[in-house]
Amino acid sequence: MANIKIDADLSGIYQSLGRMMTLVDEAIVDMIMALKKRDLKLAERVMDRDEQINAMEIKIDHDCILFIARNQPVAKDLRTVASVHKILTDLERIGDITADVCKAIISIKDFAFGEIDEDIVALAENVRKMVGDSVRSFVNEDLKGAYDVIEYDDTIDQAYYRLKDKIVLALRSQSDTLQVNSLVTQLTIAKYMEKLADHAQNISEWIIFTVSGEYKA
Amino acid sequence: MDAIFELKNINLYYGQTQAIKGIDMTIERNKVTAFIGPSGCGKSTFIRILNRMNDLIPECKISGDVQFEGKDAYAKDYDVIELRTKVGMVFQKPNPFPMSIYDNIAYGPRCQGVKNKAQLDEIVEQSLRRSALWDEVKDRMKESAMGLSGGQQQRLCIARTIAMEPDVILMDEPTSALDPIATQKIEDLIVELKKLYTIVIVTHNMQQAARISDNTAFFMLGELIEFGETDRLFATPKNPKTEEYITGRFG
Repeated sequence: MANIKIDADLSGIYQSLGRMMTLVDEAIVDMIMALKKRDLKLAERVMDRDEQINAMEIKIDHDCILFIARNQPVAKDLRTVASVHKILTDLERIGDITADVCKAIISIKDFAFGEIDEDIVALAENVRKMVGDSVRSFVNEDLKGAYDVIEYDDTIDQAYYRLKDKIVLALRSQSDTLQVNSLVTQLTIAKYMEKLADHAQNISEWIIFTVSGEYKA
Repeated sequence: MDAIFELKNINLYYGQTQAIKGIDMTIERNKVTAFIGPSGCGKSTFIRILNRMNDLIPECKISGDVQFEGKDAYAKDYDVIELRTKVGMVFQKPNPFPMSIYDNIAYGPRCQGVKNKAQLDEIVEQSLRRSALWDEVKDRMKESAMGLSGGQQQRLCIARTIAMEPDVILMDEPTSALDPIATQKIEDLIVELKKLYTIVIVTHNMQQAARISDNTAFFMLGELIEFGETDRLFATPKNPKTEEYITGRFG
C-alpha cells in the first residue's frame, strides 16, 4: 500500500533533485568542452550556471526540511530524505568545482600542453561518467551501480597520480615562468577532477545507506 | 542485559480465538519498552500478561513461561496481589478514585496496612513529586481528584501506582486521551521515571515510541513481528512488515 502524502512529497523532491543533477551534468560537460577548446564563453557560462545550482540546493534543502516537519519520516523514508540532504551538498560542491575549473581555464587560455591536456580531458570524461552513474544509481536505488562507482574511484586516483607525475616531469624541463604557472594550474585542475570523483563516491555511499541502512566508511 | 521479565513461547486464547501466538520476549530493567501495532494486534493483551490482568477474563487461557525477577509469575503458589504491587498499571483513560487527591495516593498504602500519618504523608509527597504533580497540587490535597485536568489526573494515576513502590509500571496508551502539552509532560515523566522503574508502554503514537522508548516491539495479528532497539527499529527495520507499518504503507 502507498502512503500517498509521503510518496507525493518524496516524488517532488526527486524531481527537483533530477533537475539539479541535470544542471550539474551540463556544467561538467561544458567544463570539459571549455577545457578542450579553451572556450572562454563556455567557461563563463559554467560559472553563471553555478548560481542556478546553488539556488536549487537551497530549494531542495528547504523541501527536505518541510518534508521532515510535515511527515516525521522513519525507516527508508527518513534514510532517503537524509541522503538527499547529503547528496545535495555533494552536488553543490561539484557545481563549485566546475566553476573553479573554468576560472582556471581562463588563466591558461593561451597555453597548450599536448599529451597532458589530452590526459586531463580523458580524466574529466571518466569523472563525468562516474558522477552520472552515481546519480543514476541513486534514482534507481541500484546498489551494484553504487559499489561500481566506489570501486572506480581507485582508477581515477591512479590516473590522477600518473598525470601528476607527468606534470612534475614537464615542470623540471621548464624555465619559462608563464609556462610553469600554467602547468601548476593544470595540476590544480587535475586535482579538482580527483575531488569530483570523491563527491561521486560520497553520493554512492549515501545510496548504500538509503537502500540498506549501512554506512560505508 | 539485565532482564526483569523473560517470556517464552507465550500463547493466549480468548475462547477459540488465539490472540497471542508463540511470543518470546525479554524486557530490560530500567528501560522503556514500547509495544506498537495496529488495533487488535495483541499488544494490550500482551502487556496485561505481565501483571496477570487477563486472569480476570474467564474464557482466557494462557500457556508459556513468564519469569518475573527470575520467578514463574504464573506458578500456582505465586501471590498475584504481590505481582500487581510490583507491576503497577496505568490505563488509557485517567481513572482517579472519587476521593481527595491525598486519599487517592494513600489508598494503596493504607490497604497494605500503613496507618502512620507521617509515613503516609511522606509516601504521598514522594509519589506526587516523582510524578511531577506535587507543585501543582500541594496546596489542594484535600480537594477532589475529579477536579484535576485530564493530564493531571493521569499523573495522579501514575503517582498512585508509584505509591505502591513497584518495580515495573505498565502503561496502556497513557496519553491517547490527552492534549499535546499534557502528553509531553507524561513523556518527560516516563523518561525521568525509568531511572527508578522499568516501564512498558502500549502506544498508537509511533513518534511517541520513537521519542521515549529504548526498545520497541511491533505486533501484528498476535505475532511479535520485530523486537529490538528503538533507534535501530525506526531507522532500519529488518522486517518489511515493520517498514510498511511505521512508514504508513500498511494495508
